[in-house]
Amino acid sequence: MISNRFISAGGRGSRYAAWSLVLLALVHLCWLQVQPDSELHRIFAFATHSTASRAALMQYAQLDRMADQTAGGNVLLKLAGYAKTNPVVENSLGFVYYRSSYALYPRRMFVAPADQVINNGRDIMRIEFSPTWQWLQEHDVHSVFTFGNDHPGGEMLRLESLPARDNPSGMPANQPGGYP
Amino acid sequence: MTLTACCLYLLLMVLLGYALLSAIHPSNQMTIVQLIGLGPAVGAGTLGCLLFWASLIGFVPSRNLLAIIGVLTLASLLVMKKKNRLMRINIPATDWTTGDVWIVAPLAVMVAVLVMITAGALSTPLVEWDAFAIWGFKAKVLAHEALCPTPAYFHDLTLSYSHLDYPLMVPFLTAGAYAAMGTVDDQTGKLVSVFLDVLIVPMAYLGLRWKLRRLPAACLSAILAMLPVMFRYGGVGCADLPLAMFYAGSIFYVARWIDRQQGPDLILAILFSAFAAFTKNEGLVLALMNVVVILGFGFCAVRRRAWIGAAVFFAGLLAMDAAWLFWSRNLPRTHEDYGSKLLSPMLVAHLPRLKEIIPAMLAQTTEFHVWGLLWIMAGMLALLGWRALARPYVLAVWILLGMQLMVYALAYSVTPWDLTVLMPMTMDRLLLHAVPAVILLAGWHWSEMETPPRIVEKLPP
Repeated sequence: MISNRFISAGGRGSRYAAWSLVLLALVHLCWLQVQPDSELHRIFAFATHSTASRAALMQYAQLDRMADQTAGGNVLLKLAGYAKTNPVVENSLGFVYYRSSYALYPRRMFVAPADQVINNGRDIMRIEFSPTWQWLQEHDVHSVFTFGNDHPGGEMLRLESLPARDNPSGMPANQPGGYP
Repeated sequence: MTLTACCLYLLLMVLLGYALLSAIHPSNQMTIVQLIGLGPAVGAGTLGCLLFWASLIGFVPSRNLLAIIGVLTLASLLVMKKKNRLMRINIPATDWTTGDVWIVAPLAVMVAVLVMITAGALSTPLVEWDAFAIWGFKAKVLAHEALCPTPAYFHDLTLSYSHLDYPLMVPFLTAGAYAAMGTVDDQTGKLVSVFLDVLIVPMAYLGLRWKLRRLPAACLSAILAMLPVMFRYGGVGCADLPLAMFYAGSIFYVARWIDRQQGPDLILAILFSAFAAFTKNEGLVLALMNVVVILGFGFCAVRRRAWIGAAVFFAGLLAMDAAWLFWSRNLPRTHEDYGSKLLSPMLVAHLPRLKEIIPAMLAQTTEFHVWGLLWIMAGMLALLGWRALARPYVLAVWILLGMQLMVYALAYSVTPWDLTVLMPMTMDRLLLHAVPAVILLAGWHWSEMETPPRIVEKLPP
């Protein structure tokens, strides 16, 4: 190691330059944070529960509420209408699956057989899981989230409770395939 | 009530850290920054590991388990007090210089940032996608089931999006908070995330203060605290800031070991490297880089102590993380799996992608709304204080930073994702891991222009 006495301290000019740089960086950061679109403003909006922040949290709250409404048992996530093929909804489909799986745990949300890899909404669309009534019973599925709609303007996500077990005749109407 | 329980849980981390530091530095003096920064960081990492090991033998994080850890911690503190081995808290009052009074300004900034991040975090549940889909999900699983037998979650391919193979430090610490609170309350539980995230500031200050006077060290720490990326990821529940925090500790103590070769520095370097490796997969790579650098400088030093230190470092790291490496060896790696890809021949085939990646990384450092002037300032300070490159510990951190950026660029080159989508989404988080090295280097280069470092080193922080 080189001893300190061989490394002379920088001159006064260097020190002033260093201080100027650091102070400039600090002032610039302060200026950034007072801008209307800064992260600080975003945090402030959430902390004060502003209208914008409440709107941003609405979709989370909706999914959490729907998960709560599924009282017991596991849930099937089913695709309907354009959601089966339209790549535009991949992201929202992924969000619905991730958030609901998180909210439901230790209960489960099924979107595919257990050996299928799901990394994103596209994988769910590709598999388009459509289990039999027996499978649903074996996996203790009590409710169905239906994502997508055949009709424009309809609800994007609907929750349906499955009828009492061992009673397939009471399945929710308009189920596209899969169930007997 | 849940908030009180969560605060008590954080207090347990502080006490655990204090006890460990007293064991590492018996009868030594401890500064306030070490008490509020280093101690809690060591305590948090240790508690995460303890909860993991307990889960491996079948114990879910619970109030009883936390009470046992608390009682053992208090008992060891009492024994150390009786033997006069406790670290004494030193409040420096005599060595303040006239200019140090200005430290009030950066200190006020740091406190304000802490308040804002805490307020923001506690006002919402987990909303960041990675926070709930990966880390929060795992925390729920670990709060619910022990790792023996392995919970079904870890082999459920339909949950592959949550990265089944990711390390479990942050989820275990969160699960511990749920146990302390007696309920899975992810909104209050985010206090753990805030706690881990803001610790990066005192950790950086500690590293800067090693070579810098109080005021410049505080100013650089305030810059770190004020970064928009800190506000973006502070308290959201992800593992990137905790990784950066542990990594800050690891490179600081690796640098100190290279400079002074003292046992306590090596122990802390091992602990922080092990904690980083158990926080994110990137942490394992960073810990291995620490091994390489310690080994390399050990060979260059041609001193027996340096070689032995390198061997001890590797053995210690392996011992700390062996349980995780063994337990996780069979977890499905169905998502990304950068580890295997970086070691496979496909890496060579993907090298041309670096032509796209490196310019994007450089461009990211000039995103002022994310980094302010941090990278530019650090580069300029390095130029002004270029003489610091003659110091082995500075050179070591430069080598670590270079290797880190190179590995991250290579990881992008083998990603299964579309780069044009992935890079804008993740680049700020990945470069956040490098911020401790950047800040420390900025400070250590600056110190070459300020008071000669060896004199500063004698002053208490």
